[in-house]
Amino acid sequence: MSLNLTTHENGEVTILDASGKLTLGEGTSSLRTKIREMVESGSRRIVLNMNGVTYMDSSGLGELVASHTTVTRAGGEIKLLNLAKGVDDLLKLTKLYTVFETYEDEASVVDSFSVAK
Amino acid sequence: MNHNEFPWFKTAMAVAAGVATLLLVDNFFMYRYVTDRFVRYEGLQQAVTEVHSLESQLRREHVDTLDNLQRVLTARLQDRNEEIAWMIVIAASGQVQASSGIMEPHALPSADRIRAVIERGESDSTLRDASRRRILIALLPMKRHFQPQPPLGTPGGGSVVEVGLYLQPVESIVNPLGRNLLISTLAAFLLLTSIIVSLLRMPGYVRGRMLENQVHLARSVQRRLLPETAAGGIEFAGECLPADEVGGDFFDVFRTNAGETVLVLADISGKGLPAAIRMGVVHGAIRALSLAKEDSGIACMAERLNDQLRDENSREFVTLFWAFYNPKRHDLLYVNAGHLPPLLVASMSGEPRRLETGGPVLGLLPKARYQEECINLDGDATLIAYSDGLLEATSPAGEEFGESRLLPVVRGSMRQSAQEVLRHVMEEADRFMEGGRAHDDLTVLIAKLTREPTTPSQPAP
Repeated sequence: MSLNLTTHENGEVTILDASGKLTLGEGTSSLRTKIREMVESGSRRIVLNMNGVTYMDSSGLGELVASHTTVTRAGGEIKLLNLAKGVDDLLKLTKLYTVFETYEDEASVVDSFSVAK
Repeated sequence: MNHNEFPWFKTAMAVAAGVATLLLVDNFFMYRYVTDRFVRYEGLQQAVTEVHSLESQLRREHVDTLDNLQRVLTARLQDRNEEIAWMIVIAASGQVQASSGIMEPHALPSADRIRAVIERGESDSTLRDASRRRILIALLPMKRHFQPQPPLGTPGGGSVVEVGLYLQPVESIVNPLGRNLLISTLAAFLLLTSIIVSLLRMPGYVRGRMLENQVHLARSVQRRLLPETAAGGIEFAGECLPADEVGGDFFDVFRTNAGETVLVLADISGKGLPAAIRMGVVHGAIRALSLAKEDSGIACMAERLNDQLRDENSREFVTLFWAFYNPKRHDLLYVNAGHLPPLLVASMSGEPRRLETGGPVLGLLPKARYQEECINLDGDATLIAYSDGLLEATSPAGEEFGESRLLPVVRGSMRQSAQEVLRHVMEEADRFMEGGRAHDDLTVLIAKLTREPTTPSQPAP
């Protein structure tokens, strides 16, 4: 099973719903392509909803950080929503959680963007 | 790659391909031959029967004029246009005496052929592909004679019948033969296809095998890079089991000129050859940095390493546990870059301490900051560092090995040598996986940190 990506808008925020496995190969490359497309089409406030991501390997983690770099470099922001325990543990272990703001519900992540502005 | 390799294989393949082609060609001619022979024979038999039947009818009904002959012929062929295309009675002179049926355009038999049939009493047949089906055109002698034709035996006497018969397909006549031909043709065709596929895939296969050999060599190189037991001046034991032939995990133990023992355990993200190649780079960088260690500490060394490994589009990273043990001061200075916290068991308390101080994984974040920690040890201590292959080693039941399973092994092994502790950890991991293979590289390093007896002339600074 690969990674399934769909987007929906909530105000000025684009929410990217991911489900499946974020692993080396199809998973990482489809996330990379999607993020690039979103940035090119002008999205600057992006939330990656990881609710359906059941498994992530080290390449997936690397891709997550690369997505952050891509969005930040374009002057945007990417935040994470609904991390599964395994994914959350991996972010904590690798001490990469400082890179991302993480949230547990869509309303508060969307609010966080408007507060910042 | 040299494409002239395995000449025996290519020769054998070429021979097999030749045989298969021969078989296909032979099948084709066999089919044509059998079709012709059987179908022609069957058709001729039918034509002979037809002419005999006609002649007996003519005899029975005393038909001896051409008008009556035409009537009989027309009647006979009525409702039989599925079997018989046409029948023509031709006099020895070549003149058509009567005819019936749907005639396919063709030339009437020459006078020579007619004479040959009449004089020798033989039949003569040809096959042709007509608009509807294949047709057998048979020329047969006729004994009956009609007014005002000279009788048979006299010059210019006698007639022949030309019968055009629609042929049955050969399969309906010799069914098993048709099946046999079909199967052998199919077999020859498949054989030829598989040979061609094998030949086309051969170079890729050979390349794959050569690459496999290279990887095998790389594995032994990687194994030789692991430190020997005598290195570093302390007692230690380690194991590094790549999930594939080669992996991105490594550990190292060596002594600096300042008399400190460096303990390293790192995990390069990814698996296999790409991870192994990057591992070589990381290993070398760590050694170089370790040997050039300055008093400014190791956190800044981790920062420098991070900068070295990072590039704009990094997706790969390294988790690293990097420690300097000073046997004289009996302290351990370490930095942990996003690696699973190693366990430090001091024999005084027996309770393991997790070595977590440090920062994020190396090679991903620009300007990542690291912290170091220095632990002053009281008595002897055992350090257990491992890569996530051990924690994520999956059991057939799907659960993960987990630190909780590691702790009892480690606590219970305090009075054992490093080698024994390692053996117990590996046994436990093995038992847990029940002989299955680790999904990730699995690396364990056990080190005994024992105070070096200090002489009065070398007081600890």
